Amino acid sequence: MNRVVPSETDQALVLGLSGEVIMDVVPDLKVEIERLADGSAKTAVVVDLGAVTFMDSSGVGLLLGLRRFCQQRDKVFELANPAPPIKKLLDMLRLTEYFTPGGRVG
Amino acid sequence: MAKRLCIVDDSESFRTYLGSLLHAAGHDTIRRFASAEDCLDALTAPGAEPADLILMDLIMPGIGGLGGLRALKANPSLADIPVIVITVSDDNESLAAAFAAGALDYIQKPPRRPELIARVEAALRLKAATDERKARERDLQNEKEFIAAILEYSHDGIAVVARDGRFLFVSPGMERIFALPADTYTTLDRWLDQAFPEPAARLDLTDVLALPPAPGHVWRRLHTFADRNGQPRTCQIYFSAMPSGDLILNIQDVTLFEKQKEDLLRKHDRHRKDLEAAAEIQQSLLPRRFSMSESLKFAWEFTPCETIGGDIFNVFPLGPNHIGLYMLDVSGHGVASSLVALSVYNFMHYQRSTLVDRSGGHIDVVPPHLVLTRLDEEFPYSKFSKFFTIFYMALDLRTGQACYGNAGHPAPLHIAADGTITPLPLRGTIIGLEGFQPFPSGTVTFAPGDKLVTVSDGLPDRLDDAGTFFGETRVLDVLRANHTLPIGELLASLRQAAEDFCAGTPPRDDVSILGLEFVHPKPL
Repeated sequence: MNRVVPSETDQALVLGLSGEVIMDVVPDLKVEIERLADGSAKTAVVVDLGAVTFMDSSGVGLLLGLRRFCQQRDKVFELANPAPPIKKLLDMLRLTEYFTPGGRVG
Repeated sequence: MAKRLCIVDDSESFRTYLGSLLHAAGHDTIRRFASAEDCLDALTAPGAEPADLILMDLIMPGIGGLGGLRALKANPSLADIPVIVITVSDDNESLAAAFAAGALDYIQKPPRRPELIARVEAALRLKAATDERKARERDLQNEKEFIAAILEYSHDGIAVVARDGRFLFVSPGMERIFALPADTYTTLDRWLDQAFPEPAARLDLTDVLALPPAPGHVWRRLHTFADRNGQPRTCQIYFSAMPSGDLILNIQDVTLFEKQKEDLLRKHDRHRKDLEAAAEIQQSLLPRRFSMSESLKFAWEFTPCETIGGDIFNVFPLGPNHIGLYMLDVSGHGVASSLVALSVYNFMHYQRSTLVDRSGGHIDVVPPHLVLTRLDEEFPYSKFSKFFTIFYMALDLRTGQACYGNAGHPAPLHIAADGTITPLPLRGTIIGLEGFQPFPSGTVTFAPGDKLVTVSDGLPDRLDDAGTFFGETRVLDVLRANHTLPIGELLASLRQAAEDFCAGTPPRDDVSILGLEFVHPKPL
């Protein structure tokens, strides 16, 4: 499976993803990320997409689910460093604002 | 390590004298006893320090030196301690008795220093050699018992067969696997007759055994054997050879594993058939007719992915003067995605009040952005854990004017009769975010000969075997090059271009292409 690389800043748990975030790996990633987020006392979760090369709709679904997961635990959810193709995908889906902290809760 | 010596003599002055001689020769660990009984008591006491050599006077009160010697040799824990007896004279009878009782050597009183030291050192060397040999024997015995325990408790059966077919070794695991009596393992033929009665299995094994692997190579094969009740079971045999040419068989009973594998394959097959059935249902929902009006032609191409996807599209009449067209792509693929796609299809098909408004006594087409808003209310991500993108357009056949709404779907392409391609620019967010943002409303006008092509992201995301995307640029290039073709042929050329590019690499997601061609306005 794709590894989730965790690190921390003062306020946030930062989870680095890499490679292709597609349907084949999403179930394992979801379990791992939720486990790490639940085990962290930080009030924010940042998913770092800097090393992600491709994301399909299952990967986008993972991000939507994680945002909801964090909301239910009163944590801020944020995306960081999307590479150009991922940024283009999020823009096409008009999700950039949705994943910006302070964006209206859906 | 310092050697531990014992002097046993009833004469205190002799014990002191002998001790001083040995001390002068470098021996510091010397215990002195006045009788054989005292010496025996000290050496057999719990936690007693062992001895490397005993110098024992023969003539002493009590059991005396001879009695002490016999008692030492009769005790297994003391029997290895060499004993040098000390005599007062050359008493042949006593000496013979002492040697018969196990004495190693003797010295006469008064001892001559060089002789005493030479005999003591020789005895100590002998004791050291004996101790070393005994330690080696103990190690060998431990090793042997360890290997025997491995073979005893190993689940595998291990057998060694000589080149002439005789069994040289059979581990207890063989009995556990085959449950055959021990006398089965005389020759390979006898064992094969008993354990592999089925001719094909026996022949298969005989072939391997006739031409065994060279030393250093391992062959592995599955063979069917009969258990004690004649029921078939499966074993995996590893064949390897020793440098001598003897053949080693390492055998595992894999009956359960093979059965689990079969069950898994059966389940996988059932799952695959379920997916195929779902895919057939999905495809049965795609539009059948290619012209519903002389004013309009449409066409589509659909390439499903291996596991069913979540694409669905349709073209349908919206009252007497309009047609509706949509393409949707539910996130993920698999049965859950296709079920959501089917639900949206049903919603669009049967909830026509969502699409047309008859409240004013005539048929009004509901603006597409309102249709998207309604879908967003009906299909929240929080309920289905799925989102979808959709492009929906309502076209007035009388005027060629269309209004559309786009929820995160790749921008459809308007192809003017002169070949100018314009992506429909307005686009809102995906369906499922429960009113996160309003959906914008767009319009486009079709002149006779204009076309519209909409695709799912499965098309630009198709990969060749080197991992390169087909990409949006190639989609535009193909459409530009073939824009004069009738809509059906145009879409076919796009599908074929993607197929050629991917050279047999199957799509990872459904690939949907839907197109329409506005022929002329419907007469009023």
